[in-house]
Amino acid sequence: MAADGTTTEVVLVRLLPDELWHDILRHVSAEDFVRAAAVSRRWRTYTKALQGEFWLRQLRQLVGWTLNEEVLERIHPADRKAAYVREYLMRKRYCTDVSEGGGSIAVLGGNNSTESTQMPRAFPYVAVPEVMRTLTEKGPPLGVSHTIFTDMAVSNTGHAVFCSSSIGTLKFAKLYIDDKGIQEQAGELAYRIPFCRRSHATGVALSPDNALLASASPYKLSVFDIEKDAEYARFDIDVVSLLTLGRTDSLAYTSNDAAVRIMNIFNKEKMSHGQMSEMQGHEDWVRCLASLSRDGSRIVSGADDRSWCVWDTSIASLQRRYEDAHQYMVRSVAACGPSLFASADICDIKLWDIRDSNPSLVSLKNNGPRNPASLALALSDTGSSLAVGYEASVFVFDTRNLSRAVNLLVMPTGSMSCRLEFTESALWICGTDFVTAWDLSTPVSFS
Amino acid sequence: MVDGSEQFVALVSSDNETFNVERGVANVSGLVANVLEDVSEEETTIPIPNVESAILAKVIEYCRYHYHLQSNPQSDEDIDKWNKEFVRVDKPTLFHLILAANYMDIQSLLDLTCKSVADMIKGKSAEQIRGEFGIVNDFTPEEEEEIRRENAWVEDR
Repeated sequence: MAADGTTTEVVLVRLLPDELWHDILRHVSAEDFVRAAAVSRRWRTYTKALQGEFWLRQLRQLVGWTLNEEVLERIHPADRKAAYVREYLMRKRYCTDVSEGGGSIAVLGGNNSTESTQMPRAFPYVAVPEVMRTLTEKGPPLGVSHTIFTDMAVSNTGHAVFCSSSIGTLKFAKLYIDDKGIQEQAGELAYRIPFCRRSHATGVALSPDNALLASASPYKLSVFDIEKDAEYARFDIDVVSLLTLGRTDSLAYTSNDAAVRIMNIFNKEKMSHGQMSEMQGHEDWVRCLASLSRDGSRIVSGADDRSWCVWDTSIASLQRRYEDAHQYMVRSVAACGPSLFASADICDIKLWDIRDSNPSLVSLKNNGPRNPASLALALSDTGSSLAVGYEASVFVFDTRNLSRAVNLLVMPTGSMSCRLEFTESALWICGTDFVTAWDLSTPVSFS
Repeated sequence: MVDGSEQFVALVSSDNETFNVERGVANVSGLVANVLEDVSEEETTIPIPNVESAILAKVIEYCRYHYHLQSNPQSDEDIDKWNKEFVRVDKPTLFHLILAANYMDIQSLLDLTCKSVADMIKGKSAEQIRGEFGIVNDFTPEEEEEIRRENAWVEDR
């Protein structure tokens, strides 16, 4: 600091008021901005004052796509730098993998398998602690060039089975996570089952022992033996949503009416050919189901009548109904037993604790009614995190504080989140054209 | 906006030097344009009390070039070259230009000069930045260590 002319330069630096230094720092790169914060206390206050707008702009540049730009703005200003750093490091890691030739299974967006080893210019993830690989199908699907995923079932061992539908075929693949990311089980891009023309899968559910897979398509419910790679049962029923009932070898499902039905289909010996029981309580179409207990003895349903119902499936009876739970039709429910669950309509997401007499805990308002093409919910095992898939974004909230999302993932262009599932270490996300897992082993800070 | 008959405005610097400038050129400055809007037609002397003559001359040079671009367009490359040449000045001049651009409300000049200072920061370590601007490091060793940890993601390439 003792160099000649220092004194005049010190004066020079003080010549500019703070807001002009702000103007100058607006023009530097992310790396220079970070180093500028290490210059002096005064410079540190400059970067603090600018951080919200600066990191938002940097995120925009890095992400490089504009579909859901408002989503970036919704990241809390204080969190934007962390979001940028994660994004930056992830790209760096991703690039390294590709240059080492290890990127062959990483396909993003699922448009074309030939792009698999190229670094996409617009890597579509934002504010993700550690996103693992996204994997879509490797080869061209049968008959058609475009595949849309509609539902996903995640096994209790952490494997995911995703189901995809394309016209005339139904495709499943078995995925697992290892230290390299999401992998597809060797040689098993499984189950290409030809369906009748114009049929598509609407839902998928795994048996409790992970041996059987139930798959719904219009007017048909098929059960597949995963080991044998064969369909072993088929029912002529129309399914809107499916739910595996824990250890009971049964499946709860809803059709295009106000009933919730139960079938025993996961036990080959005792399999019921037809519905076991029908539970009445709703007044309009039932849209969604979730399990409040591991064994599936208590489940919750949401319906077009704006209410939710809690059922005891062991005696097939309604335990509780909450009328006018929502202002609009209930589109999605997610539960974390024994008493906590979340429900969503197009406008509100509400958390309920049914031990309370007035069960509504907290409600998360969207900005007025919209009509999202997709709305998916998931609650973690402990109930500490709520994941919300809203069109092309996935938000994760700390359930103790729903005022702002702690994490955010933006899907590839055009993709809709259709199913979210928490496992012990990851949040699995099924979008319309890709499946990914969000590694939660990196602790998410709820500051 | 500009008459064919060239009207002149007198800009007076802080050290009382008067610059006769075409109205159009002077209007590049938001400050001057504002004043000219409010005063009567005959009133053509505008004091610029915060800007010295040497700097004001530079600012007018900038305004004149950019004003004449309207009638005499040039390639972006040429403009870029001219701008670069324009800010090739010593640091005191550059800093005074920033102040003048800010005071006289000339956004494009403010951007140009700020970018020019930003370029001085480019690729430099914190220590080099301190050297560049003669800034004293007032962090405690503990704070420095914390900053180093925070910034590891940038340095680890």
